[in-house]
Amino acid sequence: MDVNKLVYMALQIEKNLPDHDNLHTKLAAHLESFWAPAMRGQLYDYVNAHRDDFSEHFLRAVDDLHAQAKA
Amino acid sequence: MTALSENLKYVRSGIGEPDYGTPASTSTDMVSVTIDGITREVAAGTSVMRAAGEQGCAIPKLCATDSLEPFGSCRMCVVEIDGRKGTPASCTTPVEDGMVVRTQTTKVAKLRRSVMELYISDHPLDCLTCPANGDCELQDMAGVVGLRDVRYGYDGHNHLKEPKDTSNPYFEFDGSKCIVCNRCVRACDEIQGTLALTIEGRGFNSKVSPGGVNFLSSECVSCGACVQACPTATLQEVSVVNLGLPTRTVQTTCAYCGVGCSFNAELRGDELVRMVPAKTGGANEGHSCVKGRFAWGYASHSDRVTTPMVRDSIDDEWKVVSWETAISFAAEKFKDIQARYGDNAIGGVTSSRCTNEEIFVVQKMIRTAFGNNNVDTCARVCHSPTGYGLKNTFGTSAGTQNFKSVAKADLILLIGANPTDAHPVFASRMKRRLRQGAQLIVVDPRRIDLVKSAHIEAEYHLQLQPGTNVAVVNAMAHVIATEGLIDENYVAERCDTEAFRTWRAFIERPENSPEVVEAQSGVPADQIRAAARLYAQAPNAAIYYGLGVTEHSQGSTMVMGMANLAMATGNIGRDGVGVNPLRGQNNVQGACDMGSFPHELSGYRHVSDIAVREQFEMLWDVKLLPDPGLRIPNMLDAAISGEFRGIFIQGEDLAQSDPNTKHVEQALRSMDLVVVQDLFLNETSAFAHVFLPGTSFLEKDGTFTNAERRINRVRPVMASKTGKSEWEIVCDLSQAMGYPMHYNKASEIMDEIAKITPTFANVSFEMLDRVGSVQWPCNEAAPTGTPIMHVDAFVRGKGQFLETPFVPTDERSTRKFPLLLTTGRILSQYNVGAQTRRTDNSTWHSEDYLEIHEADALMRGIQNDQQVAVTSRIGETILRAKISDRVPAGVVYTTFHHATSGANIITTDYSDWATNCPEYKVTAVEIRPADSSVSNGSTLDDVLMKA
Repeated sequence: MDVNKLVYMALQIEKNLPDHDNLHTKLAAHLESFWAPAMRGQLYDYVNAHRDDFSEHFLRAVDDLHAQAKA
Repeated sequence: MTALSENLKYVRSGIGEPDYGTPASTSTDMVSVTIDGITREVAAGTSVMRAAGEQGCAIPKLCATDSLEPFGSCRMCVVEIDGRKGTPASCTTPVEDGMVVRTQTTKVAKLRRSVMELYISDHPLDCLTCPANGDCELQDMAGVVGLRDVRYGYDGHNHLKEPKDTSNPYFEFDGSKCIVCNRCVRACDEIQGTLALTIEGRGFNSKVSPGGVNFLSSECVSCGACVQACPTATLQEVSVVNLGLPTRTVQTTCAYCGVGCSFNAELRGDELVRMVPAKTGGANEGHSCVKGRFAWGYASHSDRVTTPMVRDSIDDEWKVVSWETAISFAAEKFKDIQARYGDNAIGGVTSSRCTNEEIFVVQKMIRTAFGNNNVDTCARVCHSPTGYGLKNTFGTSAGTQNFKSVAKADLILLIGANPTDAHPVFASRMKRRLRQGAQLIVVDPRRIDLVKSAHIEAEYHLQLQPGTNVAVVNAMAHVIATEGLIDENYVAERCDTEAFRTWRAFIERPENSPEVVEAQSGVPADQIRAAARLYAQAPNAAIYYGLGVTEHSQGSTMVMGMANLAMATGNIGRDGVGVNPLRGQNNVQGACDMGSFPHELSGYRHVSDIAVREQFEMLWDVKLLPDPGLRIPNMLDAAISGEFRGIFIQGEDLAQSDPNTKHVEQALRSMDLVVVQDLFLNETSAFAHVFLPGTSFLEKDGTFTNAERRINRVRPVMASKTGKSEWEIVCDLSQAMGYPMHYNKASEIMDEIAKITPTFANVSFEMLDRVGSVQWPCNEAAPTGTPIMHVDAFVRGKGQFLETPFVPTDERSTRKFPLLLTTGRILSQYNVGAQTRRTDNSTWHSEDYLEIHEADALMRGIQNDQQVAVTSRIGETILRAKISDRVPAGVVYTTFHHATSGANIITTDYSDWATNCPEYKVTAVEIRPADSSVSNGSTLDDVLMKA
């Protein structure tokens, strides 16, 4: 899938979730609940290669999901 | 045994339903009344006519019918009442305790005969050739009163020479047969609420008139209420004129919008003659619209494909093949794709046009035979944000009320919905309540009819900029929170108080104040404040909404925002209140209930829930995946990138109905196998390799679930034109893919749904046939169903307030694309028009128009009715301009019913953040005359420079 679109969608989710300390948890939960594993994997690969472009919350959410998937 | 023969027991010989003359009383007080020597208890307020009719002593009548309030004009229903002078009309006389009534006396018989003589003296005596011969109340009553002679002769001077109005394609008006009983006029007023008809003239010159040249050019909306009410052949269905009276009846459910009207399909042999709205229908109670009542001809249209077809390449011609060949062709190709690209390379889409049973087997086939969760439904592109928003706030993905509830609403907040066009039968209920005095707030960029129509005027029309719903609903909540209008007791008792505190802190922020939102939305702050106060202070305030809420990049946020508003003011959990989605298609609710979403099994249970999955695994004897599959837009994107190669599409025209047509077509073209199950070759089938012909609703055996969660029976009216039920075809495909799936009849599928879905636990065909319909949840806790939800507690326990930050869409108007296009439906057409365009409904709407404000048209040199090019960042299409003050300057509007106008050629890929529901309602565009030499992509400045 077009990874730019996946990144756009994930950032859009981040933007629309309330901005609290637990934002990363909510973002990760949303992606886990509604995104197919392949989409999450592709997102992680891209984000991991461009970490400077993303917020701390965003990175934490994607990293947490990746860790869960590996576990 | 075919579905038709299975259901023979529901075929009723003859036509029509009992008519007790006046509506039933809603009183619970009882009085004792004696009629023709029979004494019994009757609800107070019941008319003498109805009380007599209910005990089998029908009183002659002409101007009375039980769908209308009593009128007392025809004088046929006179009776004698002990202790009373004269002969009162039984229709306008309520029963009283101890009343003794005689309906058949010499005195009243003489009076009735005299009255009937007057009627017949001015009525043509062509009964034998009259289309209503055998279904005419005047004829019946002449017989009942024993009319043998007419002292005044038969050459009446007042109506016999009236011309026939045949302008309407579905019914005729023959004024020569009119007895001026006013039933049609009252039906238009009381039932439909359009007030299109009137009585012109006085005395003997009184005549029914549509107020214009003819019915077609009048304000008549062709709902059929007048035809239904007419006691003679004055208003008569053209189909009855042409074919003769039907002889048998099968009750079924309409397959157009989410109102889910019950109809009596009346037939002669295997030929459908007319569809008559059923008075016993829980959703419609005897009313209908032009689509359900008349636009069913598509089912037997010559374009119907009734044999399976295959082809190796989309460039090849279709080859007609046997069912076995088509199924095996599809199965082998699906298996081959999976062998080469993996199990997840295929998936499917269920259709909200199909029955719950047909949908259930498709999602089951995908989860079992395909072995993945790549199943989605067309609800993705309409109400998926409703599911997300209401589940997170209330605990279940459905509207809170039954339709009847609107009759108790004191304030109606209508957001992003146009019910008079899209949900007309519910709109009639709403209009009735508004005429009774309920107040109305409309939130819509466009001035819909309900803003101001006959006897109705909205208190406020918040005419916001497309894309700013969330800002406005937040501002309303801000006013309620900061002006002390929160129902603190309700919140403390019913809602999660910590979540409420967090929400309150958020909503009271200055950024949510009406004064700030005015700049974003264009709605004056004082109007927002006044509307918020009106909503909060109404005894019963109800929210109704449509796709103008959901089809935005913040659709889910908006649904949660409305839920917050309702909880904050205590407007959830009783009659007259609630948050109510007006669902687009007949079975959107059902498609969602049946587990069509990639993350949910039936009953909205997440695939990651081990306990739930185990129940399904045990029943289906297969291992299920614990992760969500792909949504429709994901499937299309993955197809373009080569990871998704095959799709089964049940009754959805992706290529016409989904946004960014070019992108959809590219995706479909990229796939190795596209299987389409549908009635007609459509835009999507141009990219298909297998076409599996489907069945119309008149051939289906199953259930639909409407917007009020009402599960209605869909009974086969005629034999399947394909020789098969759609669920059988899916079972055959599943079997060929290696997963045996077999049912003997549709009821067995519902039995499986009930077994595995807690909210459907008590539902069966047997139960539905017995009780008519039922609203889920229907289980041990609610054996007769649940008309109103969240009565004592929310389904999730405590109501959950959620913060709803307003994040503007990325689709913005710019200098290059300065106008915002929004879309909607028109009354006579339905969605992509596959059905209605194949009926006479195109008489009213033969093409899609672009509504444009005069100022915007003037700036661009656009005239009314001129063809214009509509250009967005995505593409360009041509529409005819209609200069209108319904839209404000800066906003343009179109419908999307015609494939040729291709509204989705210009809509974008932007979608709701939570659900990917497309943002159909906001597209930045530029307009220019189609014959202009200005090149595609020119700016307004360019146009003006040239001008």
